Amino acid sequence: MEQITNFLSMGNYGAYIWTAYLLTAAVMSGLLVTTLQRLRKNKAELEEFQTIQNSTKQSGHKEEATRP
Amino acid sequence: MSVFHRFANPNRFLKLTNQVLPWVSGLTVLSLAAGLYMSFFTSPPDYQQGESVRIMYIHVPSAWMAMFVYTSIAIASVCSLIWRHPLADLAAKASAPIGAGFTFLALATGSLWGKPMWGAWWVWDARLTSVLILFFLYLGHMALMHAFEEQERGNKAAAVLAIVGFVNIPIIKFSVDWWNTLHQPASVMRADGPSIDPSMLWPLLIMGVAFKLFYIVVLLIRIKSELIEAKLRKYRRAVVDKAH
Repeated sequence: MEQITNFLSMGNYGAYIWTAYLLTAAVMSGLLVTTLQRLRKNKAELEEFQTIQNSTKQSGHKEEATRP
Repeated sequence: MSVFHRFANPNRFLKLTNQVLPWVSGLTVLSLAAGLYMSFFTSPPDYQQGESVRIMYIHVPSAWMAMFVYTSIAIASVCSLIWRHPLADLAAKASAPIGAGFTFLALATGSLWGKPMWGAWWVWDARLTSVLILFFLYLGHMALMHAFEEQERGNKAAAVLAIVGFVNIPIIKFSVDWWNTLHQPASVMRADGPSIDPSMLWPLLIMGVAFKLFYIVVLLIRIKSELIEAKLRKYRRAVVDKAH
């Protein structure tokens, strides 16, 4: 137990050191997560467009003519 | 030049990216784990700074990345303006938020190290001020990229800013030699070799590699995302054209 508290206190610099490391973890994982979220969103939207395109190709031009 | 243009083809680029990405991601995790372990367990406290020296293992790699990513953006901008390389603009656009993140970290962790060592969160000396300017250059680059309705114009304006702003990079590097400062002078990238003890140099270098690999991973995913976005723009335009 004492070993853990000793480690965490980091010779009384613990507050500075752990804040620095947590901040770094937060910024780096934030960058990674937002990047992955955007990729997933873009992929989903692209698939949507491609299924629409495929279905209009299959049903030919009839459907187009009936559109308002 | 031929190698340079081989990867200009977005499809070839995507194929290569998908092959490389799992390996680079694995290496990132490994080097980050090894670097963190060494930073906390195998490296000794500093004889002057005590345990607070452990902030160095994230502060210095962040600062390296802040300059490295900006240099990459400046090179990509030159490629974009002169050779109109189709991936150069995407690489610059995808890099800017990552660089801004690392610059913020260099400033924030530096501040957290400065308070116990210098007795001040911030001093207006040349090193700190020039890095703050670098942070604003990143923000300006990101703002310009999105400032125009035509993406082309935004790319061009941002590329010009990146190239002009590159003067700041040597100023940051040599600021600790040219002006009086509390900041330590270079102890790794010196003409006469590193002056830092190997027990501290190794974790520092491994963390530096880990951060660089992390940049490559996030950059590749962002470029992938940008390529899809370009396709989406085409589709959206087609829908609008049809509606008229």
